[in-house]
Order: sequence, then structure tokens, then C-alpha cells
Amino acid sequence: MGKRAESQGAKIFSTKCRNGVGLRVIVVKPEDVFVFRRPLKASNLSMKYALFVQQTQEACDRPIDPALRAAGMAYGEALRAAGVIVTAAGLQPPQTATMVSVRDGKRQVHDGPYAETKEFLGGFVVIDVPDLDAAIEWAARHPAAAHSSVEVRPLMAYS
Amino acid sequence: MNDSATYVAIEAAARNSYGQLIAYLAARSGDVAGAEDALSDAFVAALERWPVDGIPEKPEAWLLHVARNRVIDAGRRQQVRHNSEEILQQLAEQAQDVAVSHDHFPDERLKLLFVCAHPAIDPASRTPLMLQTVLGIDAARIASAFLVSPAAMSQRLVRAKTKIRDAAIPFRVPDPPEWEERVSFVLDAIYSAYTTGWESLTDIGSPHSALASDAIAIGRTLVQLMPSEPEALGLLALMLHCEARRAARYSSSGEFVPLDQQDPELWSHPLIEEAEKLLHAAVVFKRMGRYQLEAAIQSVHASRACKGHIDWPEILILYEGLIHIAPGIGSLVGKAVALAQTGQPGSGLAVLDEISGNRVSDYQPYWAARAHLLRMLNREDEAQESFMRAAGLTDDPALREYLFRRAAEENRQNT
Repeated sequence: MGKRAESQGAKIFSTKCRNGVGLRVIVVKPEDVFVFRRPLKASNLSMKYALFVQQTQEACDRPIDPALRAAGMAYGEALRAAGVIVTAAGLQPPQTATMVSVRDGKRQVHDGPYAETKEFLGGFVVIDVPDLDAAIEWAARHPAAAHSSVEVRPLMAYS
Repeated sequence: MNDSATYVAIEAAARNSYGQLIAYLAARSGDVAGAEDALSDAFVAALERWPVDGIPEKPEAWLLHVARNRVIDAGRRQQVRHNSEEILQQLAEQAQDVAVSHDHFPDERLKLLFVCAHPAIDPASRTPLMLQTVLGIDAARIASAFLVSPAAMSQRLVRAKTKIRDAAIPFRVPDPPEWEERVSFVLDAIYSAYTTGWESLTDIGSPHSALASDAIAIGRTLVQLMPSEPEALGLLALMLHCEARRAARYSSSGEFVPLDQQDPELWSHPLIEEAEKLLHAAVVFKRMGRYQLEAAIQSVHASRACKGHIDWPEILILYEGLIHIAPGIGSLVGKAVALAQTGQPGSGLAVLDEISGNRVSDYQPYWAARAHLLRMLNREDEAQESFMRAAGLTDDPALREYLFRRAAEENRQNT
């Protein structure tokens, strides 16, 4: 079946299901790849959201105390136990950043973001949950939500 | 079958069931704009088919059947995602059930209201979104009522609907821990439609005054959908009390008449009675809230019709309760006036003085109340200044005239 679909110009993708349990093979025709509609009926599907932790420079400079570390660990464990985590990372402070762009074929490399922003990205978590309300629940549970803010953004559905 | 009978039938279906049809389709697809497109296709199909085939026995079920086919076709064309086929099948079966069963299709308007007033939706879009999806009011009319250009209003509505779909805002009725706050967002959006419609009633038949009746229509729907939510009852009671005074707010020559000088004969007594019944039903639940208190204050004003006087001490108590629950500038100004009317204008002025300057700079009722209190305290120059400031802050010509007149009056009471 797969061969036949491929010969008709379709590509076969295998994706891991939610919670990483089981594999599901889906057929996607090339013209469908860039359709970003979410499927119907919210209850039995999965949406991926990025939770971006916006931090102030002040919050970033503060040494991580054991309580905060424990809260972070507990949150990560809760995400794993619920089977909703896709990926997560904390970021080094913006002073460590390097900006890269290519203009007229010439590579430009600069130190750090120039804009003196009050808040910057401190880290992110990508979760797989049924809908926005569930994503907001997880965002509110993030330990950083108590002092910084967490931006919830749906991911584009490429596959 | 002639065309005019078809139009009547389509219009009736649109008027009575638009919100229910949109809610049913959108609750299943998560896509409000898609549901609107599908339903308008169904109305077009009805215009073509009904004159030929006759008006179906159950027009709503017919429209729903056609609309869900459109939703399914759109879904198939887009080949949404791997599990969409199953969901489309489900939708088809559900719609089929509705078409064949004699029961009415489930009313999902409450879920739709909660989506429209979801905290993730821009507050400025919530009321317009509600008016459009629940009542089917077009963007241009909503735009004129909110004093923005039709293009800007359409853009705002499109953005909100895109967010509902792409961020996957769920169509669900929130559970108890969230319930109270989420209900208050729905109530606030409805009340905002009412106050926008209330502020200018001089021009009957204007988009403004239509908005007031639209808000009452949604308020009635809400009470029907959540009969045991006291604040929903309170909000409808509040709106009906205000609506009851429509004919008394301006004299026959178009002059503004303040509430305490309105002729109670001109009030609509059926509306007052309905409001009172709702308020009595609400207090049985023993969960006091902002809208019940505001309705209770209006109820005291309404009882002047039989008592002959206004029970200001009662109003003062209610405002104090309101400040406790919803410490807004409106309740503080109300309390100040109630203090003055119970013989304590000095204490009233002290309440006004405590409100911070940037909150009052463009709040007309504050300046009108301040002027009134200053005059009671024989501070005539300041009173006139405040009346003028209030006059400069209103967009209602009749009210402006009234405030000018008050400014020009001498203090007859104490001289």
C-alpha cells in the first residue's frame, strides 16, 4: 500500500503518537504538507504548544536557590509523568548570545542581541496536549510563572 | 411555493436558530469561521432548493445537514490530519442523527459563549465576537455601534476566530475552580454590549439602541442556559431595570431627565416586574455578586414608583457591599452620592477625593457627582467648574445641555 501511495506522489511519514506509545504511519500527499489546519473535535487529538519563559535580567542574575531548583525538577517530572513533554531546554543568559545573519551572501556575526529588552527568552518547553486550556494549565504550573511570564504559542503542524 | 414564503422561513430559521447552528458546528470543528461559511452556504442552498422542493419540515435540521456536508467537504479538501477522517465520520453520523431524530439538536451556545469570552481572546473582541456568532449580527453593524470602521472590526473578528481555531481554544463549559471567573468574563462581555447601547439612547433605532436589545437577548439566552447561576440572573435583572426607563430618560422635548426626577409612570412596569422576579430568584442561591448588587441598587430606585421616595440608606449599604466585591470607580462614585443623599455630603466628597487622579480624568459620572456634592457643600465656584468638566466629557448632547443648565443654576437650596 505504501509503495502504491508513493508512486502516486505521496510520502509516507511515521510519527510517534502522543505519550510516545506506538507508531502510526500516515500518508501525506505533497500538496498537503503545508496545510496547518488542526483536526476536528478537540477532545481526542493532540496539539503541540511551546511554552516560552520570559525572564527579566534581574530574575536571570539571581542565583538559583535550592527551592527553585527543586520546583523546576518537580515540574519536569510532572510533565514526564503526564506524558505531555516533547522537549524542553533552559537557555544561558543573553550575554552569551551571538547574532548571525547573511546579507548579499556575506556572513555577519555580532555579539548578542542589541535591543535592550526588559524581558528575554529564558527557556522553553514543548508539550503535546489536547487544547489551549490544557496548555494554559501547564504554563501556570511552570515555576517561573510565579515571577516571570510564560508565553503559550501553538506549533505549526507540518506533519 | 413562492419566494416570499421561503424568505420568511429562512429569516425565521436565521433569527431563531443562527447561534445554535453555529455553536453546534463550531463546537465539533473548533472552527468558528468555517462554521459560519458552511452555514451561509446552507442558507444559499435553502434559497435555491426551498422554492422548488418546499420548506422542509424541520428547517434547522435541513440547514444543519447541508452545513455539516460543507464542513466535511472542506475538511476532506484539506486532508487535515491523520485522525481527521474518523472525526469527520463522527460529525457526519451526529448530524445524521439530528436530521432523522425528532429531538432538537443539542444546544452548544453556552460553550460558544465561553469560547467568545475566553481569557485568551482580546477583551475588545469578546463582545463583538459574541454578537456576531450568537446573534448573527454582521460586522458592519457591530462596527458602527462600537464606533470603529467596518474594516477594523472585520479584522478584529477574523483575528479572534483564527486564534480560536489555530490555538485550539476548546469548546467546553469550565469546571468549578475556573467557573466563577470564566462566567464573569461572559457576563462582562454581555454587559459591555448593553452599556455601549445604553450610553446613547437619544436616537432610537440607532445601532446603539439596537445593541442594548441585543445584549438583553443574549442575557435571556444565558439565563436559559444557566438558570442556577445567580450572577446571570442578576445581570439580566440589571439590564431590564435600566431598559424599563428607556421612555423616561428624556423629556418629550428631548431634555435629559436624571433618574431621581424621572416620572415613574413612564417606566415599563412589565420589565420592572420581570427584573424583580429574576433578582428574587437569584438571591435564593445565596451567592452575592457584582451584578446582583447592581441590580438591587436599580431595584431600590424602581421602588420609588410605589414608595414615593428613594431609600438612600439602603442604596448606601448596597454600594458598600459592591465596593467590597468589585472596587471599581463606579461603585465609589455611587457610594459618595449615597452618602451625600443621606446627609453626609462631606464624607461623600472625602470618598471622591480618595480616588486617584488618573482614574477620574476622563470619567464623566465622577465630575457630575463631584459637582453635585460641592454644590451641597456651598462650594459654588468649584461646583460650577466640575459641572463644566462633566459636560466636556459626555458624548450625549442632551446630557451635556443638562450639565450646562446645572452649572448655570445658583445654589437655591442654601441661599
